[in-house]
Amino acid sequence: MQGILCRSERLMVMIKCENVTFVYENDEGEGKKVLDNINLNIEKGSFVAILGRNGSGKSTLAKHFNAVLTPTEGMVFINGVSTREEKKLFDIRRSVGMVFQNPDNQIVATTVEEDVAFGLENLGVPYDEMHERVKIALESVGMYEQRRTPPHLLSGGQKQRVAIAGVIAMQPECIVFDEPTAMLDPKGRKEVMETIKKLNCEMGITVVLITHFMEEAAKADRVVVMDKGRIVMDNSPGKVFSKVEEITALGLDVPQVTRVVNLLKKKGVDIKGEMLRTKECAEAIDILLKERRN
Amino acid sequence: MIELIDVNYTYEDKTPDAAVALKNVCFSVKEGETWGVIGHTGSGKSTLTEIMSGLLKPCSGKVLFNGVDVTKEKNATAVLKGKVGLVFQYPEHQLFEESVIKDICFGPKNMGFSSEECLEKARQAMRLVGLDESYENLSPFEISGGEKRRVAIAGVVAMNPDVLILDEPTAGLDPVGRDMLFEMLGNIKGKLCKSIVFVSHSMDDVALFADKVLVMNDGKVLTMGTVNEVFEKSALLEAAGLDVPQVTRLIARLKEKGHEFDSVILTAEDAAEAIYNKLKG
Repeated sequence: MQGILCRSERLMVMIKCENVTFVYENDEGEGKKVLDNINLNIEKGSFVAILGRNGSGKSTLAKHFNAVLTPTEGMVFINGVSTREEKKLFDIRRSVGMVFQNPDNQIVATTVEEDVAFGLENLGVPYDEMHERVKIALESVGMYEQRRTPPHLLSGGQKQRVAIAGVIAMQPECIVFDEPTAMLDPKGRKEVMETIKKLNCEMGITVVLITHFMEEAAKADRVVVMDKGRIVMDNSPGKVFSKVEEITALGLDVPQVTRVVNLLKKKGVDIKGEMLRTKECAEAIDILLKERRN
Repeated sequence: MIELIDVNYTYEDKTPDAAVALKNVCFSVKEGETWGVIGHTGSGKSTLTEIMSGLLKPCSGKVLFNGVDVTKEKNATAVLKGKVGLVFQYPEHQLFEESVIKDICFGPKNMGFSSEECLEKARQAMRLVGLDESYENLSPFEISGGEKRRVAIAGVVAMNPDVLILDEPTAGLDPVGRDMLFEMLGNIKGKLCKSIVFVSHSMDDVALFADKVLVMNDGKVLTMGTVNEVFEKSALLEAAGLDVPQVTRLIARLKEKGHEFDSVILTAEDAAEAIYNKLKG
């Protein structure tokens, strides 16, 4: 029964895509199918990474998650509400926030705290509550100390954290990050990734992370891989990245340490487990080397 | 080819808003070299590229191009025009002509080449960036992001610069796009330009593609040298808010655990080989 969700599903599922197809039309009316029959459930509280090469449809899909786009065919439900229900658009956009690639395009005010307050002012939130919410939001991204700083004096990573605070202040249940670290240096990338992880673990915010960095995707609890508008893989990071050939054929990478382990396996070395992080990989190889020495 | 001697640069110099961007920078690029420039945001990388290409004039210090001090010239940009090509970050945002070929011809045209020469140079540049003739008459706005970036790079390469400088050429590209871009730079080097300098936030890219690395920190040169020399100093890099390639970190951890590896290891293939040899050796 399309369009109707049972109650338990509504409690568990943050975002549900049902046979979603999306066609972009150019000036001549020629259509290009960007999303092709997507079926996807994103559970509340989960941390899902979406991978895919440029043009695979990742960003188009993300724009369906807060009704910036509505599907050409099929349905998208946010908290059980269809994104086609125009009267509910306001609720949908409050429950799903978005953070984009370039922090400079997302910052509007002249100080950090004013910027975070911007959305709340537009909602007409009372002054005291606004102050409280801005404070909590800035503390949660570790930027409260810099609340009076003009944004142009911040580093890229700091600006991106301010942009995230602006979204948190709206108290969303879910945040969609569209390549939030693409323009940052390694330190900024690390700061933003730690913030995202914290939002998910400590505040229970559902996270959808679109990224080109495999090491970031490895931090999610689920990885969805897209290619030509379809979902081609959907599993835990360990399972997805263990398929090195498949991932490479899709124009993606696996984390470099996973590649090392895979090369060793090919040479006949017996390493078990899903090796995604430097630490666990070093430990496994350490054990092998010590065994060999004895 | 390019030599920077004691270069200092301050934005809004002699005003209350003065911001020091470069402090006593000495750096030189020789013919045939590929340099990767790394450093955290605000470390002076982009200012450095603009000094090298003559867009900014140093507050003090010298910029020598083939031994000639360009800071003495009235218009350093004019002297370096066509000799040092700079590709900005997200260069695809700067395409403006109605067709790909016209956009690429824009640079050579301004250098005073005839239409035929411009077309010849543009076509050669297109071939080297991997765009075939069918792209010539397309609008730069109806091609993909990766293709746009290649058109923008071709526009600079068509001027046959001796030194090609690129500011974060792989930002926003997927792994395949990134590999293609570096392959393309490899094709260009030696044909249309002699040396390449690129700014990057990706240590893996630098490890794979550069032969030499310049590390900037707070407007100063923190260290420079061959890729191996620089990535050996992982503690120094980490203190500067940078990283070493993940594989190098893996080997560093194994070294901490008491295993010996002779050289710095940067790629997955080398690491697997070295570990395998220890296991079997």
